Amino acid sequence: MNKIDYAIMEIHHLDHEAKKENILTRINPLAKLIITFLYIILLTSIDRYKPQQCIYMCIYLILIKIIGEISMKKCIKRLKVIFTIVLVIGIANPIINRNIVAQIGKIPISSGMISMTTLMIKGCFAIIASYFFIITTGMENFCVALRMIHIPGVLITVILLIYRYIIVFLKEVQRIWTAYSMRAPNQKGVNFKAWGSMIGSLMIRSIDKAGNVYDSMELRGFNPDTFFDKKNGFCEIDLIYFIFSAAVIVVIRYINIFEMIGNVFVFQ
Amino acid sequence: MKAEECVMESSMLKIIDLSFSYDGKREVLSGINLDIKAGECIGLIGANGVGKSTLLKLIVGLEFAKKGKIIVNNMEVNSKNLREVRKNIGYVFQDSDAQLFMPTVHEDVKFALLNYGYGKDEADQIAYETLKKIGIENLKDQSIYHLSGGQKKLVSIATVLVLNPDMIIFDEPTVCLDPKNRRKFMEVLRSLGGTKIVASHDLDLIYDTCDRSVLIADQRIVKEGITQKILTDRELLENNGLELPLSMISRNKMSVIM
Repeated sequence: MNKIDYAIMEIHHLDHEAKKENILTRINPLAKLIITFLYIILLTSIDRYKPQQCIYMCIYLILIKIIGEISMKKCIKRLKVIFTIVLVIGIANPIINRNIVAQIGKIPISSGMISMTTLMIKGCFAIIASYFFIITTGMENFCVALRMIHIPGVLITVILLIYRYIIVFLKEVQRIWTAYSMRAPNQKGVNFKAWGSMIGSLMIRSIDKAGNVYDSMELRGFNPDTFFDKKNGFCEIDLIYFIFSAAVIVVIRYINIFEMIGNVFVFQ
Repeated sequence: MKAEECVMESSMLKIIDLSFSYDGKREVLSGINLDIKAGECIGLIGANGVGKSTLLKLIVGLEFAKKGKIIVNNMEVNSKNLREVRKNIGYVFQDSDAQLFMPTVHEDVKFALLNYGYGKDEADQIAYETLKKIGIENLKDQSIYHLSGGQKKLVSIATVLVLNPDMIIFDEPTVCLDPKNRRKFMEVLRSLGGTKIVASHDLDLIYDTCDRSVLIADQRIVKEGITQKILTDRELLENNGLELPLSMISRNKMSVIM
């Protein structure tokens, strides 16, 4: 299987997993969206010199992983490229900020190194939380959640169609690439002279196909104004999930549980 | 007036003096008049680029003509009643990849039901029954991406059949189908009730399945009548860029040998 095939299959897998029957997939998408948003806000609000506080935030992720039966192996595999980018974000901090604040053995630890670590942890956790949201919600339900907070239907339709367009686009890339490589067997990659016409025909063909997909949706009654409004409102289980998750996130963000547990033992 | 109403009632599709142009200059279709009765199976034939697909798009309201009328099931096709018109017409695309966009077969089949306000459980049940009707219920949870060309075509039919439309339109339905899947498709086509329009270059398919055929050439309807008569008229077909169906040619050859 080539890389494009694999990418298309991965997108379909994401949709598939969002349809799996478990507690999290049944929760109202808006509840999950708000909770994920809250988690990311509180995570990013942590002081950049307190990496240990960031680590506590993984408790929420562990809970979601268990409840949603999410495979961490797949998660890391799918997000490895993004993780790499995130890990590079704070790389300049140790160079800019060289104040030595601690020492481990003979290795001096600068405040730049600490802030870099915090940034890395924050970035990775925020991405994992977003991934957990998508994998348990699906793109269509994500759009429903956006509609529930009164984002205009047209905008949401664009998001949904872009998502569908990615698949159409990848399929066209695959076709054009196959056609090219069959007629240029000894070439590595695409000759730069062919790039212009290839990209041009790729755009025209994929847009044409995307137009057909939209026609097909319209012919089967798709109406952006009503499509995202048809789902159910909040029920008891959504409310329980919402309160419980919000409480967990606030507690792990503002209360140092491990320190509290430690203190209890010290006093005894 | 009463006589006209009577005619309208038995008509599933009536096209009156229809002309269409994409750019406003060169007409793709000109002065098209057609009357299709309920329950008929019509073959729409013609060489490449004569406007068969355009005519189908006009019928379902994907394009609108400036001149002429299209009346489907006593409703004139216009931008105001598209939803109601489209509920009555199923359109099976030439390219199944364009028709199927949901992650699984079952979800794609129930897409239209959910859009037309059916409840989730009811939609699930109707979608399953439709798949069963075509004999592909085993594909229910399959990913669209993993289907073969023939399976995709059958799923495409299921996606439109699920609304139980009065009329189904097929645009080049046997393209890319192997003989076995083509046969399977023909079985399904014959088993479907209601009005059917099949636009195809596969004249053998038209010969075997359609009661009446409409030959389009030079932007207009050249001939309309019983399929067997039109498809055995070598001169008519050749003058309009077509050839006799393969089965007819081999039959003729056999009779010469005999």
